[in-house]
Amino acid sequence: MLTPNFTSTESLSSPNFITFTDTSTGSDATIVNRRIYVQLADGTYLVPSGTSTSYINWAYTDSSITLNLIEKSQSANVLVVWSDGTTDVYTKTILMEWDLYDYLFLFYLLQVQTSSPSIINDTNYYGNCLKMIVNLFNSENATLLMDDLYSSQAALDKNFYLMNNQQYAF
Amino acid sequence: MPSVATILNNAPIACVLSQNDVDKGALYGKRLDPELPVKIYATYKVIKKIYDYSPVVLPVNATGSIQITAIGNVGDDIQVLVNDPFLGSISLGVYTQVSGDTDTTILAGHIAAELNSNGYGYYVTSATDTISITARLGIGSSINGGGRLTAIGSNTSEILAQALISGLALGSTGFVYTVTSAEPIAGIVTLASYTQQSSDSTLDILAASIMNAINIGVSGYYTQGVTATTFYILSRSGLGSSINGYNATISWNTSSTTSAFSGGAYAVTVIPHTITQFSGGVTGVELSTAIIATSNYLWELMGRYGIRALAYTGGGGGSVSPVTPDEVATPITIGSSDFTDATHWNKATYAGKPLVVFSNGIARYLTFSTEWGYTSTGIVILIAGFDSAVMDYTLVITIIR
Repeated sequence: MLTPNFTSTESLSSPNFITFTDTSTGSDATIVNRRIYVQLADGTYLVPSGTSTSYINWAYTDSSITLNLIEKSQSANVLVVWSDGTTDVYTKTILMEWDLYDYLFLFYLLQVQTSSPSIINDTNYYGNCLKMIVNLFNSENATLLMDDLYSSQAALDKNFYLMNNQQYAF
Repeated sequence: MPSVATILNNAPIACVLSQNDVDKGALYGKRLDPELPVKIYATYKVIKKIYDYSPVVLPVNATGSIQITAIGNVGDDIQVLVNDPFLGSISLGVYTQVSGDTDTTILAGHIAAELNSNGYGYYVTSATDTISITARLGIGSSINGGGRLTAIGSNTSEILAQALISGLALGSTGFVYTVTSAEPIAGIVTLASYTQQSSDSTLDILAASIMNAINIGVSGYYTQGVTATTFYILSRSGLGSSINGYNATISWNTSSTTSAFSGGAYAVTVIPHTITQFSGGVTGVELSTAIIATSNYLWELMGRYGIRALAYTGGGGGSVSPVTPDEVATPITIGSSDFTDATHWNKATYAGKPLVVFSNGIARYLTFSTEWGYTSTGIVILIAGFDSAVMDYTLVITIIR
């Protein structure tokens, strides 16, 4: 009997890569493969480039899998299915958030700020930095405390807008 | 400047303390930036996230070992070699077994003592019959495995003693040139007895004829030319160093020339041992300069609230106390010789003060509580393997207030 579970981690050097790790306990000799479904707030499924299915195959012999999955900070409902080859035996869904892109952008701003402290006096600069941090705060809380994918992604999208318009915002 | 970990540990408290002062300022007049708590938090939040993804990895020196499996014979030796990833093949030393090495524990101890003075920074100790070798600082995992630790006998082949023959003179046809060796046990041994021929018309030819006579003889000695008229006589095998100082002589008519053998050495057997290769080395990972720079910026932002926060997090006495001005010189640079033992440094004027400790060797601040800690009389270094008695360290200790 398996108690299914999994985690995910981001990479500081390559935030587009997400690593999923199977943290299930117990054992079930009938399990032969796994599938990962990454569903976004708009209902679509996120898969690596070149994947024709809405899911990602995760070989059962591999305890972890690293995927080139995201291009910006994302929240997603992640469903992992453990199968015996014909039947889905176990499933586990976790709302996950990968927001390292936003933090890396803020860290870049902070480096600029460190070398040019007076930049915080620029119009909108500091206010928009704080907006991004509040958006992250909201997104993380929506994920962890409220299990609310839409609110979480909406907060991240606000940051994405600021990052895409950084010439005006910072 | 405190370490990144210390700054991040104290930032949330500084945020609260600064907010308290902002609130007081609202009552008694605006004396500070009312947005300071927000700025501290915003800066802290970003650095902390990146910092958590950039763990500092403390370096660990690899260790290998040599177990002495039996005592050899007096005169047996062992030379320990390391293929250092950066220095190439180096010898940690050679130890020759002496009569006092009566068991493997004594022998291992003597070998370890010899190897520990290697001069490359490798640290060698022994426990019972096993010699532990700790790799030098700075090479981390690069020395793990790969057959980098080897041990050989320094002299596995006998070195034949040799005597340089010169002073040979051309005699007359019919002169008999008798070549002898004064061996330590057998006594005088004749190597050759050559009668000068009419064809030995020059000294060069005569010398060559005598050398040939020695070489084709049954004594086991042979010759090696140096010039046309001088040559070495090499001792037979088996005599090793025992013949050193004994003479080789060539005599003819009423003349002779004599030279003492030297340089002979017995073949030795390597002391019996088994080797366990280096393992467990970890290459340290330092914080990025960007994290250090931004953290220092945060520390400046925290200002006096950062100092006050230290009192809550272990950097001070557990409560916010008035700062008493003193005349203690700070920072202070200390070396290995300033330690009272392997890990403890004591100084009355620093005891009980909030400190930061910078290591010149790894060019960063040591992390409080994991890499160093306070004692009632100074500080203690907590880094595994730190031993001021065997390594040279330079630390800069600063009182922060």
